[in-house]
Amino acid sequence: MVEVREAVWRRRSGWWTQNGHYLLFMLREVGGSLSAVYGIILLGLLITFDMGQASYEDYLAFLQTPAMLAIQAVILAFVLVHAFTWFYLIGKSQAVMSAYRAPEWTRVFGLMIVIFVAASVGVLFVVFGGL
Amino acid sequence: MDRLAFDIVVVGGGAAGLRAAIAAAESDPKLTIGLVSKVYPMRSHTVSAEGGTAAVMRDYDNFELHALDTIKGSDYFADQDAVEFFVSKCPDEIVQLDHWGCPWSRDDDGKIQQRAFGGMSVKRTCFAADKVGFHILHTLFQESMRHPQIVRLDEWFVTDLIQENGAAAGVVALDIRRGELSYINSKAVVLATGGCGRVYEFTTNGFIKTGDGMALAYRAGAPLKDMEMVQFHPTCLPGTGILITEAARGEGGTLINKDGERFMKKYLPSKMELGPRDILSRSEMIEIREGRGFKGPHGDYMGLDLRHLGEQAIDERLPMVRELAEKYLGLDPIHEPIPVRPGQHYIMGGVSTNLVGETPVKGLYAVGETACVSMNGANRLGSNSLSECLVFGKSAGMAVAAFAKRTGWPRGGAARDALAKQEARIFGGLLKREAGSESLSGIRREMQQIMERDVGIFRDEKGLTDACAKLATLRQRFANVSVADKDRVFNTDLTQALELDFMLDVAQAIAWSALNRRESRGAHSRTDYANRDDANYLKHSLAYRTDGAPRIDYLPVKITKWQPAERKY
Amino acid sequence: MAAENQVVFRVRRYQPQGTKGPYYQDFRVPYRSDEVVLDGLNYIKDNLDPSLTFRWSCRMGICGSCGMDVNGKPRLTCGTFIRDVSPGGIVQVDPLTGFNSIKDLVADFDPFMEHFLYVKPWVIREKQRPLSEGEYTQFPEELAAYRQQSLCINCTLCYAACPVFQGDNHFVGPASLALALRYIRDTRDEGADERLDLLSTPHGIWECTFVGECSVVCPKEVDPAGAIQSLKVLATIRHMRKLLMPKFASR
Repeated sequence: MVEVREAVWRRRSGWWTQNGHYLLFMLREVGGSLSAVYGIILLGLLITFDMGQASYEDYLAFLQTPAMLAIQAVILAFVLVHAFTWFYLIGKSQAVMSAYRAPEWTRVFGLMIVIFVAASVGVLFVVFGGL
Repeated sequence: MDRLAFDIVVVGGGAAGLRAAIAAAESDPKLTIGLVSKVYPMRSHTVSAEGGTAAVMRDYDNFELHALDTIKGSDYFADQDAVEFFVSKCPDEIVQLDHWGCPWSRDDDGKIQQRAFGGMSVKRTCFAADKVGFHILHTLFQESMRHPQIVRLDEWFVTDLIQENGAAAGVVALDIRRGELSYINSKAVVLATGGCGRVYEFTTNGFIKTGDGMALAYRAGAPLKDMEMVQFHPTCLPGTGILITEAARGEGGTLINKDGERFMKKYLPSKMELGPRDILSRSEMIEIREGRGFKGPHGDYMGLDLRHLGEQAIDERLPMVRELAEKYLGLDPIHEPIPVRPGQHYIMGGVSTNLVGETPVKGLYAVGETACVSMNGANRLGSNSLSECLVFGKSAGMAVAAFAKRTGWPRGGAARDALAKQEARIFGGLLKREAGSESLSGIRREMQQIMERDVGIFRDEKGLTDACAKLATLRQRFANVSVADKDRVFNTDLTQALELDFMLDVAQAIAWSALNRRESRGAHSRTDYANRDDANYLKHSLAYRTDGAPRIDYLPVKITKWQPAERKY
Repeated sequence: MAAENQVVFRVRRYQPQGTKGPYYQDFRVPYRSDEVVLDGLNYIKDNLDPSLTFRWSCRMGICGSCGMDVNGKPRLTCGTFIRDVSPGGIVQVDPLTGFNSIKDLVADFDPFMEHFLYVKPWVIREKQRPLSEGEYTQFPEELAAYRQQSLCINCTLCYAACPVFQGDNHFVGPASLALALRYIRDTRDEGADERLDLLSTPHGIWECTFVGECSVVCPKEVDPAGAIQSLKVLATIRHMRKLLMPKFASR
């Protein structure tokens, strides 16, 4: 039996720069990791709080330095990308709930955004003690 | 070079071949079935059928009526015992496919829906949106995968039949991928390779429809029956030849000439656009010849008007028609009529068989468009073809299984000889030959143009005689064709040469049969013999291969209940 | 109708029985505004180089044979107009991404055929009713529930577009998974549990990271990405049921 020598396909490096969808996908995946990083930053708040008022306030001041603000802004951007692509995902997958007539994914996506905005406003309200 | 052996070899993986293979597998779990196809089965041309599959399913319908419609549609040329058998088996096939998962379109009460179709007096065409062939093929292919005894040889090209003492004993096939020839021993061979539309220039048929099985049977000594009966479908897109389903007319679409008139009222007022295909195609050609066609870059055409059906109906029942028009012509059928003109679509003729697919060669069977039972006579009604593949696929599958059970294995000597012969012809000859004086694509194009011009919708003595002579010359010139691609692996230059070899045989059978039928009947229309001549020609043409011109013989049409009458609608 | 325009087809060649690897070859191809990339390839084969090898058949986008990469994107060449893909006068044609190629533009899609078979793409039932009892009742809305996933023509453009499959050919892949959902949602099928067990595996639905490109390139709008996410939810629900209410696990 003659085995035919095939041309083996190999992926090029930088494949994810090839189109917008691939790029968005990679950003989302990175966003997931950065969410975890932010969790560690928040963990720092708990730890320094436990260590005493001075440590806590030093930490807060550190978080407000220009470099840290910039980093937190970047993390926020990635987290938003991550969250919105997950809202898209929920829209695409919920068709199973009612097997015959799935609500349009755009409706679900819109609903998620509304809930997101409402929840964000609610949290900010609580944090800043009123508007 | 493998030593392969199966109880049954099925050549071709379309609806008929798959249905036969499944029927054989179901009738005896111990049988091994080799399904040899030159393409992966889901690429078979069954996939492009759009309109529907006919069967008597409701109380307003009955077998007598389906039979009469079919026989009348055939211009009283179909074998009536075959038709009676056929109509009685169609309903079971529809139900069988449903059980295997075919997504038939449904009525509000959940039953399989049916629509009107050309030449059918009542709504008896079951459908699956406008992709019935696609759904049936995928259903059958996927169901066939459930039977491990059906072993598939995908992308294997059968080059020759093996015969031992005249009986079929297997096939010689080229494994396209590896570029190796092998013999496959079997007790019986079922040919299900479809039609031969690619002998014509303008056809709805896909590239793979090159009459391989017909030529294989022809070379093995089986006669090709009624080859002159070639169907031209009235609604093909100009240029590409892409099919626009008859269902568009079944749902209410109309045909108009450049003056906006529904010209069918001049030719067939009682049926209009739902008349038989041969009458419609001829009417369109007459309109075009008399200058009432629209003018376009690919020749003159008629308009298929769907505007009055409305967007909702079109999207629900004819979505693919809309997609095709938008994609290939850049127009939306809800706003503009679709340009259409007649094109080759189907061949009623084929390898002569009986009701269970047996050919005169022992152990050799044929089903589907490859075969001619004859169930379609001189003109096939739309939506009868898929039913034909299913009904006769099953009956042949069961018959060949029974045959294989009671038949012993061939001895093997014939297989080795056949393989040696093919290797000499193909690798020693076609492939080795240095650049010849003839071009493969050139000869193919010439053949297609001759067929289109002289063996088309309207034929006459001079044109047909001319065509026969030219085809004989092409046959000789083919000997000077060389295959430029010398790499054996996946050599489509080689397979195209083998296909052209088959097509030249089949084209000759068509042209000679047409020349010798000096009457007009159904799709065979002679301007010099314009009337039907039952006294002399109520018989099927049989074309036998010789070293020279095909030998034409005849076989009487089987009449049971319906006396041939004038085909009046 | 005479050809109005000219374009260069830059085609990926590969001869398995030669000694060199893949290389590109340029051909000057005349074309009309209504011609597709497949027409160009056939022009080359018929007039310039008969050894150019590619698959095709129906030329109307229903058989699924002619999938290739055109300018880096997986397309059906029978439905891709040359006028649309020739900026700068060059059309580049490669075999489908992600698959090894046998010769020239012919991809080896054995991995697909394997995955296709793996999901058991047929009606699974304990018992079929006899033919004499007629067809199963299926209402139009029940048909609508799986209709979209039943439209797959097996062209494997989705596999070519999927970065997961590109990285790991063992991933069952978009088309096969969509087909699994088609059967699971078909009211005549009883094999949901059996299939979900097959799909809920590391190379099954869980390898999908929802890039979504498969649904973008699908020429038949099957939406395999959505189908896979639906399968994930189905599989999870079933798993939870089995865990918490084992008696009510099956559908």
